[in-house]
Amino acid sequence: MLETRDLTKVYDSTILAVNKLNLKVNPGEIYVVLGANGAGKSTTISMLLNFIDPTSGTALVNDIEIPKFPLEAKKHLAYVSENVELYRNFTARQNLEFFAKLGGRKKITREELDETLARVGLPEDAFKRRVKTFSKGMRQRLGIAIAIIKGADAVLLDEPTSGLDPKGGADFLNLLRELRSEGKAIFMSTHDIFRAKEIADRIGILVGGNLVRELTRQEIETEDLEPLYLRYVAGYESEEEVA
Amino acid sequence: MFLTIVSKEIIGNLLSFRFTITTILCVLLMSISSYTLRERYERQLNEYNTAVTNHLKSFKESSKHHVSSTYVLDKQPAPLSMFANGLEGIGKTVNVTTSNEPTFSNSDVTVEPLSTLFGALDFEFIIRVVISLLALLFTYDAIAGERELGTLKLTLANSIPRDVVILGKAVGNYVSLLVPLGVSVLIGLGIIVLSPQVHFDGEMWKRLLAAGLVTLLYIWVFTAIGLFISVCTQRSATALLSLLLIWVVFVLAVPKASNLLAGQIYRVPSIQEIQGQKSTIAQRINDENLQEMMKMGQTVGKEVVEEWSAGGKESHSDMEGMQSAIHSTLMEKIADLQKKAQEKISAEWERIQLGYDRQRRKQLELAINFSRISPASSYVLATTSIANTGLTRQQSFLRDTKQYQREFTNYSLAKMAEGTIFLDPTNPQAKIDLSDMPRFETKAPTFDASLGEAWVDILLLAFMGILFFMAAYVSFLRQDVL
Repeated sequence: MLETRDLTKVYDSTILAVNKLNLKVNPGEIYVVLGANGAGKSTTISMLLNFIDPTSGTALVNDIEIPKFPLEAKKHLAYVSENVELYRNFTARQNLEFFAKLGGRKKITREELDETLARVGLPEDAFKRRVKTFSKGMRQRLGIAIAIIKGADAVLLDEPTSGLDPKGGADFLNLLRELRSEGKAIFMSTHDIFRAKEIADRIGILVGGNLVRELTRQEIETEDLEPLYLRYVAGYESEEEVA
Repeated sequence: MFLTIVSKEIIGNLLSFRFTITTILCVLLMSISSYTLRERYERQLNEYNTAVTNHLKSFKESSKHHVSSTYVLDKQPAPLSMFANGLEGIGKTVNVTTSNEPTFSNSDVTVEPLSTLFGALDFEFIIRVVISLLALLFTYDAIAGERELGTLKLTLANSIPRDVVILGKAVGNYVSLLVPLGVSVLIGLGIIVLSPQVHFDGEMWKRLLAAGLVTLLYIWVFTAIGLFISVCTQRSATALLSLLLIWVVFVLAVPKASNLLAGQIYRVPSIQEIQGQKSTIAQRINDENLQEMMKMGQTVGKEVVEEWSAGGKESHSDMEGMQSAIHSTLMEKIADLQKKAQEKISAEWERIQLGYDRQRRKQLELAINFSRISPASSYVLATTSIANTGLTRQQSFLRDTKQYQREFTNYSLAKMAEGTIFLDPTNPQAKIDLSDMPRFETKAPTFDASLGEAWVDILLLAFMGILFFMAAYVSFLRQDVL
C-alpha cells in the first residue's frame, strides 16, 4: 500500500534529514512514526506527498512511484496536517466542498458534506459557521473530514493531535480507528508516546533521520514505550538514567 | 480544477474585508473623479469657446488701423482628458507675435495650483496609483498566506498540477479586482456620457476601449508582481513589505528619477541661455538693419529730391507730391528691409531653436526610455498617447503654433507691404480686410497613429506581465513546499 525504499533527503548537500528509510504500511494498519523535532518525520511525509523531492530512494503508494508520478500517486493519498487553519472566511461546508473538488470529486451533495462533517463530530450549527470562529480541535476535525471525503486509500497525518485537549485527542483516535476498519493505510507522525501506544499497529522510532527501531503491536503492548523512546530520542544511555 | 481554484479565489475575496474596502474606494474615487472632471471639461470647453471669440474680437479691434502684431491662440480641451489628463493643463493659451517665438500661458497651475501640485484625480491616476496598489494587496498573500495557513500543503496534497494552482490564483485574484473596478468605471463613464456637452464619436469609443485594454494589461503586471513576491516569501507580512517597496520604486520613484537621471547624463542648456542667444542675435541684426535704414533714408530722400529738382517741379503741390513720393518709396524700402531682417532673425532663431529642440528631444527620449523600467511610466505614456493628451499632442500643438507664427508674420509683413498698416486713424471708414488672415489649425493624430505611438509601451507592459508571471510560475514549480 504505502512503502518507502531507501528514501533519503539531504538538504543543501550537508543536512541529512532522512537516511535510507525503509518502511511499509499495509491496508487497515496504523503506522506511527515517533521522533523528536528535526528527526525527519515531517520530511518523510513531505516526500510521500511530493512536496519535496527525495535525494535518493523512492516512495510508493499502491505500487505507484510517488516522485515519478506524483499526480497519479496523490489520487491515493489524503493528508491531515498539524495546526491547519483552513480558509478562515469560508464555512466548514465551503472548505470541505472546495477540498473535495480538489480531491477529484466532481459532484458532491450537501447531504454528503453534512454527513462527513457530522461523522468527524462537528456540531450541526458549525457546518455553516466561518472557520475563523472554530477552535483548534474543530479545525482538526474538519481537517480529517477533508481527508475522509477524498476517499483515498492512504492517509498521512503530520502530528495531528498536537494541541488537542484530552477529549479532542480521544475523539480523533476514534476517527482513526474507523478509518483503519475501512481498510485505509494510515501513516501518522507524532511525539505523543501515549497516543501512539494507544492507536498504533506498528511504531517506528526516527532519530536523526534514521529508523532506529520498529515495534509491532505485540512489542508495543509488552515493552515500556516511554523509556525506550527516551533512550533513543533523547539520547539517554540507559533506562536507569531515565528513572 | 482550474475553475475550482479560480472560483475559490473569487469567493474568498468576495468574503474578505479588503474586497469591501476596494469596492467602496473604487466606486467613490471613480464617481468623484468622473463628476469633477466632467464639470472641469465642461467649464474648460466653455472657457475655450469664449476665449476664441474674445481673442478674435480683440484682434480685430486692435487691427482697425494696422494689423496687430499679436494674436492669441487657444488649445481646445481634449475630450479624453477626463480619463487621462496628461499634459492638457499646460499652456492652454498661446501668444503669437511677429517678433518672437510663441509663448504659452494660462496653464492649470495658475487656476488649479493644487491639482498641479498633487496631480489630477483622473482615471489614469486612480488606476496607476490606487489600483496598482490594490492589485498587490489582492495578491501578496496568494501563496505566502496559504503557506502560513497550511492550506497550500492541503491543496498540493491533491493531484493538481502546480501550474494550475498558480494560474488559478493569478486569474482568480485578477478577476476579483476587476469586478469592483469594472463596476466603478461603468458608473464613472455613465456620469461622463450623461453630460450634454460630451459627445463621444466612434473614434472616442475606440480610444476608450484601447485605453481599457492597456489598463487590463497594467493591472495584470501588478497582479503578476504580487504573485511572484508571494511565491518567493515565506510570510505574507514579508511579501507585503517587499511589495510596498516595489510599488514605491515603480510607481513613485522611477518615473520622477528618470528625468533627473537623463538630465545628469545628457546636459542641455537652459531656456534662458537659449533666449539670451536669440536676443543677442536679434539685437545685432536689428542694429545692422537700423543703420541700413538710416543710410537708405538719406539716399532715398536725396534721389527723390534730385529727381524732382531735375523735373523743375517747385510749387506747393509739387512739394506735397514729392513728400508723398519720398514717403511711399521709403515705406516700401523699409518694409523690404524689415522683411529681410525679420527673415534673417527667423533663420537664426530657427537654427538655434532646432539645435536646442534636438538636444531637448534627445534628453526627453533618454528620460522616457529610463522611465520605461517602470510599468507605471509605460502605462502613462500609452494611455495619454491613446487619449491624445500626452507628449505627442503637446509637441504637435507646439509645432503647429510655430508654423502658424511664421504664417502670421508673413501675413503681417504682406499687409505692411501693402501699406495697410498706415490707414488713416482719423477715417472711421478705414478698415483692414482680415478675411484672408491665416487660420490656426492643429490636427489631432488619428486613432491608428495614436496606437502606433503607444505600441512600444503596450508591448512593454505585455512583456512585463509575461515576465513576472513566468517568474512566479517557475519559482512555484521549482520550490519545495515546506
